[in-house]
Amino acid sequence: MIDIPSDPEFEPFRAACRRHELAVQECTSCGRLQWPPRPICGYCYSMRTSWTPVSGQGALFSWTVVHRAHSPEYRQEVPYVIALAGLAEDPGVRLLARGDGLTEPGLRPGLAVAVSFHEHGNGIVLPYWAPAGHASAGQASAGQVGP
Amino acid sequence: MTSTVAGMASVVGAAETRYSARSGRPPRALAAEAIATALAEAGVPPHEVDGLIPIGNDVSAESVASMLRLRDLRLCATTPVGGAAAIASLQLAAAAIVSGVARIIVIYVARNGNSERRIRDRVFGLPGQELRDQLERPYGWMSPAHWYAMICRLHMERYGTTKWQLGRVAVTMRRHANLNQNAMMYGRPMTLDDYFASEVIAAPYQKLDCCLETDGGCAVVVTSAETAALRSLPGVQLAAVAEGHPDTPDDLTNRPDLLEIGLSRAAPRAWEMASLGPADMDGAMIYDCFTFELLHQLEAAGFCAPGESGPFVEQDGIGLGERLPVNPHGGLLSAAHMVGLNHVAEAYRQLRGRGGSRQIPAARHIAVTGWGNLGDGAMAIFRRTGSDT
Repeated sequence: MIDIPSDPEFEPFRAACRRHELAVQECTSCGRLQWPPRPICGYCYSMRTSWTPVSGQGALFSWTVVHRAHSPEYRQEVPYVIALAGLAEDPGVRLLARGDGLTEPGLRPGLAVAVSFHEHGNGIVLPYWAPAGHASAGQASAGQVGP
Repeated sequence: MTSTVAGMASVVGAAETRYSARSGRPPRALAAEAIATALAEAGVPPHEVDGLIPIGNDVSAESVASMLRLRDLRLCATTPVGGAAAIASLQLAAAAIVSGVARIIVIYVARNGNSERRIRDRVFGLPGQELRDQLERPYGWMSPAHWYAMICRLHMERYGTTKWQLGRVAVTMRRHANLNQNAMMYGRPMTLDDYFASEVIAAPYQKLDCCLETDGGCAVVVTSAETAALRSLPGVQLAAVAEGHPDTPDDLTNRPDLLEIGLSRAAPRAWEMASLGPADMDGAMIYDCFTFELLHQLEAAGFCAPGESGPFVEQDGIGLGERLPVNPHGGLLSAAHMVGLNHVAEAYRQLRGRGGSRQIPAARHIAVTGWGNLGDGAMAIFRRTGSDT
């Protein structure tokens, strides 16, 4: 079972994931989306930031297929795809996630992907990237994965 | 802008211990051996050392100062930039020497990087741990091979870089290592078939795309070019040195241009500082933590245009006797991972004409790059000094 240390800066993201929503940081002053979340807006240096839901649609930027994992909980899952995709709302904002139904060959930059949510136990829900239009994609579905 | 450190410092000694998978010795013993040997080679009595710059935290400056009974230590400092630290430490040493803070500075690394503290442990000391914890490790993306494979894939998709070209890098480094009796892979030749047959770690990276992990020590002695000349020390001049950092240095995922690295910013400054260019180099020591990162840095340093590094290694070549000899010692890929300080030691050896069977003929200028953490970078340019050969 995976474990994620508690960090208040990321809690709104985790809470949104538990609702099967994707949310990213937004600067209340200049309106820019920022990811990963930071204590200060790196564009206008305002300390006033909030969270905004996004569609969960994206485009693949790059990826790797992990065959050798470095911790016990992942060794039984290899090989797995790690996908980095830009959000539809701002392609410069990229979310890293496990691939859900993404397989080589067939991956290419720009491939349309959509978020799916996966329950990992311990109250942890992680967004994955699935092919857009894929049966298991979208906020309505949640796969049970992991031990 | 003219830098005041250009040409002002010299490396006057360098030494390496035996490199192995299991030293059986504590890191402080490896440090003591490397430092004492480098000082003896330089002809500098240890008591004159007034600056220590450790790389990594395996052997503290205080430990070295105690072992050598240093009584006038004026500078202990370290640069937090991982594999760029060998070159960043040279920059720090040069700045300290020019400003008069210290006169004789030893840069060193010593560790049991294979048998004790491996990279899978050391990654927990890198910057941005909260990002790793929250957004990366939960998915099983947790090592340099995993991270940099993403950059390699992007380059392959954008420019058509091939696995064959990565394999060419690996095989060339192994061929060089077989000319270096202290290389961990000495006596163990490798073919492209071996390369393609090696275990997949994080595609496109296979095992033979990844550097070694090493037990050992390496030390370099730096002083002013003036002191080196006045005392006839065996010096190689630091013609230029510069450090650079990418956007969002603690995060790869949202870096605007994943291919623009610290070296992309450091290299132009170093070339300008030295009034030299890539075509003036007789060889290069490129921080080859992975095969693609060697290609990537050939581009970032300006040895070829963006996207051209694959064809460059195929058509021009990076082997001894080819267009740009890179890492004649075998590099991190096939000689040893001493955080790139072994690249500085090799540049020193080559510019003093002591490369033996792997000597770059008549080498006058060599560039050395560093790559650390999530893309921090640095470059030094060394110039052979006239009196020495």
